[in-house]
Amino acid sequence: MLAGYFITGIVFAGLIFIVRDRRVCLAINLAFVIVQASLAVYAFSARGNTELNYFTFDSLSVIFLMVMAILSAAVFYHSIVYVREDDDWKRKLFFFSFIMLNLSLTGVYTANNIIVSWIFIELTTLSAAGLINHNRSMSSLEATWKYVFICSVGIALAYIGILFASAASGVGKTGDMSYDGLRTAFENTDPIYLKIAFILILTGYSSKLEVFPLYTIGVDANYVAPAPVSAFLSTALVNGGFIVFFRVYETMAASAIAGWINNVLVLTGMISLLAAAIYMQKASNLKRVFAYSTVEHMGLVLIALSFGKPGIYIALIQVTVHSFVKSGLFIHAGILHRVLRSYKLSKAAGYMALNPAGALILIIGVLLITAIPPSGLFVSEFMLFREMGSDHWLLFLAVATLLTLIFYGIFNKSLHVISGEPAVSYNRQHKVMRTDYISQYILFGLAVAACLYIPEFINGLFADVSGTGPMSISILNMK
Amino acid sequence: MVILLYILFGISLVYIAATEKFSNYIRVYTLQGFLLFGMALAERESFSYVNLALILAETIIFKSVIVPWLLRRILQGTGIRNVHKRSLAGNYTVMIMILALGISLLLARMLAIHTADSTFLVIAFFTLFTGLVLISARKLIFGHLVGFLIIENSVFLFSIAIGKEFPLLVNAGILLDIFIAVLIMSIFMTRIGHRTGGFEAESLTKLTD
Repeated sequence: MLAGYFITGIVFAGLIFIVRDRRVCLAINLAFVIVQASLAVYAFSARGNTELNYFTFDSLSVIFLMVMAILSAAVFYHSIVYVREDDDWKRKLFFFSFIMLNLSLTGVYTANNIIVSWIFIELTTLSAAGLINHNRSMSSLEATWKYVFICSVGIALAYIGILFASAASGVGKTGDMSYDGLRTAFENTDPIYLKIAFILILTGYSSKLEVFPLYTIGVDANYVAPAPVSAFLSTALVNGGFIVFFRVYETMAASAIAGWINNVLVLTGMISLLAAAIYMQKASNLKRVFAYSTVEHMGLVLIALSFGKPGIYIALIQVTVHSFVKSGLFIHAGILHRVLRSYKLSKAAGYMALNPAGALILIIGVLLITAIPPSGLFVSEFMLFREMGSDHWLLFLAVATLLTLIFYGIFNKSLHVISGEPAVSYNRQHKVMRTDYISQYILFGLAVAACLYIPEFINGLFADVSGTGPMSISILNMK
Repeated sequence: MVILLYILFGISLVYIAATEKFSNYIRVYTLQGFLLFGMALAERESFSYVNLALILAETIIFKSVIVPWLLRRILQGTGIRNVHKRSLAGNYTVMIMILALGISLLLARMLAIHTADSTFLVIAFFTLFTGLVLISARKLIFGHLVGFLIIENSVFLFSIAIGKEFPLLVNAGILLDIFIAVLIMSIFMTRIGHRTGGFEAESLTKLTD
């Protein structure tokens, strides 16, 4: 199936360049979105199967393939509007890059070998570059250059870390670079080598995970990319970064450096939260505010991971729900831009008066992303604070303080856009249809559902990855 | 024989950090491709034809032929010749390079891996630091690109130094990395050069809060 998926994807991507008719081009992309969704369904039914030697449909990959299938459909729908007025070449490059990014991310999600993961994460840089530079402006060129350059340097560092750890553990001799093989090998490896490798890998992959130290390129990319692309980059691509990092974390968590890793994760998570809290206050652009919110959530995910099995469970909920809310927010930012013609806070204001239906969605999205109930993020953040409990009261206090600052930043900026006095007069005629809001209601609905009820089969996947038993995470029976 | 290759490679790193002309960067980078091929041949205990072909592609074909050709095209397209702006003065760069060599020696000694050749580790660390110095000490993004390519050389050296028997997949990964670096970066660098009329890193500072 996976071979068929990759071949189909590559053929579809190639066809996009051959066909001339715009509608055929869109039909090919729609067909790919259906193939992507079919793969997610198949992956669930074939859970545990390994295909093409290097790809396994484990619970982790199944969760994120399902999430990506939903995101791809929503992003594709809104991309149709976005590229409507583009010339042929730009539109073709857009959909080609979109399909290639989906293919690369599928490889990242399912790879069971550290080198294969690395190869596919490198491919995501290549395909994302085509999407980030879609507008061909000086800003998008700058963001794309920085993204490609810093990602490449970061990923090269991660590769050195991988080679270093592999050689120190002796797997270089056996050639078994699978995560299972590494986990066994790392148990008896000298901690100093693993520590160096972990730092290099965390630094390298932070460019994809959007956490300290290389988070800035992700923020810039989300800022300049078309809104539907930002929706995909800040969710599906960040999830890819999470998966590659998580798999390395898992292999090392059973080794002698487990305690040290947890300290590094808390430190990195806290610095990411601090950066998000500071820069969010400074941000003068709504998309940058949303982009810094991704840094915040991924920082929380790292902190959660430091709490072992329950922490993994929390991190999975956080990443999953964040994907739904953040993609909805970015997609809506694109609609907002059609009305206000700017993302700049100095220009974008008075949204409620011009588009009340859209303003309502923005309010819902902001409430959900700040983890206000009934947001699924409330559940994960509540569980995280419960884990911190009284044993880590200093961490509890620091995280709570930074989250309050971030909460203030997002609300302050968003309320300005919703009800602020516009600096320029707007034409009240805008081309937003009611159907444009459907995807956001679905995505936000999923985030709310995660707070009230998570189906047993999804809960089972989370439990399987984290190694805990199925946990009751509904807000309705939370203690 | 192989020690001569190590020494030549080390000298080429110091030279590339100190030189003022971009054309010298390209010459040294071309030379490094050949040196890396020689080192890989000398270090490998056994070869399959596929493995040999991959190493040949990574070193001679990519590093000594294709990448230098692309770099020359970029320079011809924009007419830039010299490193006329530095974040660090030349003598400071050389001092940092000496420091980097000292740290590399120390690291290779501290982190002696039973499967790795320590001389190779010294060169690999020194190459990594040289790449990082080039990125931080140059104000033109052409210098940044060369810095990245030097880091790629260090990745290649690490793969030889600590994994004499690493699978083909590792080589395939490195090859892909070089391909992306060359393809994407040259495309975007050319565009930046045309848009801004130069390669000033300072012209890429519009994206702020």
